Amino acid sequence: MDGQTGHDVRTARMDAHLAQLLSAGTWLSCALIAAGLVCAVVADALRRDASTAVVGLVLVRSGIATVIALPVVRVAAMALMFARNRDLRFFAIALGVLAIIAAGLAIGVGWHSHVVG
Amino acid sequence: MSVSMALWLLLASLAASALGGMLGMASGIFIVPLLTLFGHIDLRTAIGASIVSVIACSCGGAASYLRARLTNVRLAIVLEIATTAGALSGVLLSGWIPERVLFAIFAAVLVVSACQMARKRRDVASAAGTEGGHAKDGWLKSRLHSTYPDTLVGAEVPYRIERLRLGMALMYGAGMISALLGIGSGALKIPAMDSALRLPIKVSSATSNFMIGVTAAASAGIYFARGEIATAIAGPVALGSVVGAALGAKLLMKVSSESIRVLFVIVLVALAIQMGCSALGVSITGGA
Repeated sequence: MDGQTGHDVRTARMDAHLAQLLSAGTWLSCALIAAGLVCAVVADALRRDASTAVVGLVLVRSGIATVIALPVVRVAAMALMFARNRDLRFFAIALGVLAIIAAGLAIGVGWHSHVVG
Repeated sequence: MSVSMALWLLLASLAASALGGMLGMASGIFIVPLLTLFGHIDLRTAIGASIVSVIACSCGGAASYLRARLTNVRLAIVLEIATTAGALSGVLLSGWIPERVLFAIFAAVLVVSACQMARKRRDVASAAGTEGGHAKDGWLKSRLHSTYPDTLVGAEVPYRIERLRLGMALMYGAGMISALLGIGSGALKIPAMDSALRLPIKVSSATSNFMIGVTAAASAGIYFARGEIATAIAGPVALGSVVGAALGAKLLMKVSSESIRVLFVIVLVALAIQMGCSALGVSITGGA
C-alpha cells in the first residue's frame, strides 16, 4: 500500500513524467506562437503577403490550442499512471475531472449556440 | 495581425508577468487591467487572452515544482474536481453578468490580493503536522497526507491535510472567479490552501500553481471552441507571459521580495480603484 505518508518511488516517478510532459508542451506551444509571430512580421515586411499572414495566424492558433489542451492531457496522463499503479480510486477521480471538462465543453458550447442561434 | 500591436502586447505581458513572477503571483491579475485600462481592449477579449496566458505560465512553472517534489499531485487531482466544476459554473454565468459587474468583481479581487500581499503568510502546517491519528481519516484524506523535502533542514517534513470539505468549497469559488475574470484566482486559493487545508507554504504554492492550468483550461476550452479567444491578442500575451514568468522567477532569487512588497500593494490598490471606476462608468485613463 503506497502513499500513506510520503512521496514513494511511484509518486516521484509520476512527478518526473508530469514535469517532462508540461515542460515539453510549454516549449512546443511557445515555439508555435513565436513562429506564427515571425510569419506575421515577415508578412508585414513583404507588404502584407496574405499567404504568410494566414500561415502565421494558423501557427499562433495552433500554439494557443496546444496551451489549452496541455493541462487536459496532463490529467489524462495522470489517469493512465494511476491505472498503471492500480490506484483505481484516484484513477476514477482523474476520470471525474476529465468528465467535468468534457461536460463543460459540451454544455458551454451547446448552450452558447442555442442562445446565439 | 498588426505587428506593432503584437509587439506591444508581447512586451506589456512580459513586463506584467515578470513583475508578478517576482512575487510568485499569476500574471492574470495584472494583464487584464493592463489590456483594458491601457490597451483599451474589450474586457471579455482581455479575459480570453489572459486565461490562455494563465495556463501557459502554470504549465511552465509546474515542471520545476514537480522536480523539487513540492507538488502534492493526489491532493491536486481531488481539488480539481471542485475547481473545474467552479470554472464550468463561471463560464455559464459569464454570459449573463454585465461588464460593469465583472469590473466590480475584479476590483474586489484586486483589493483582497492587496490585503494578502500586505500581510505575511504564516506557516501553520507544522503545528498540524503530527496532531491526530490516521484512524480518524477516511480513505481519501489518509492518502493525501504527504511529505516534502526541506532544503534548510535537509530532511523530509511530514504534513497532514485538514478540513478537506472547506478547502473544496473554497476551490469551487476560486474556479468560478478564475473563469469569470481570466485570472489564476490565487487570492482565493491561498486562503483555501493555507488556512483551510493547512498546507506548508511551499507545498501550497506548488500545488496551487499545478492546479491553475486545469482550472483555467476548463473555461478556456469553452471560450476557444466558441471562438471567443482573439488569436492576434492571446498569442503574443501568452508568449510574453511565459518568458516574463521565467524572468520574474530568476529576478526573485536576486531581489528581496520584501523591498517590492509595498510597491505591489500600491499598484494593486491603484488598479482596483481604476477597475472600480470602470465599474461605475468613470474613465480615468481615457479608455475602457
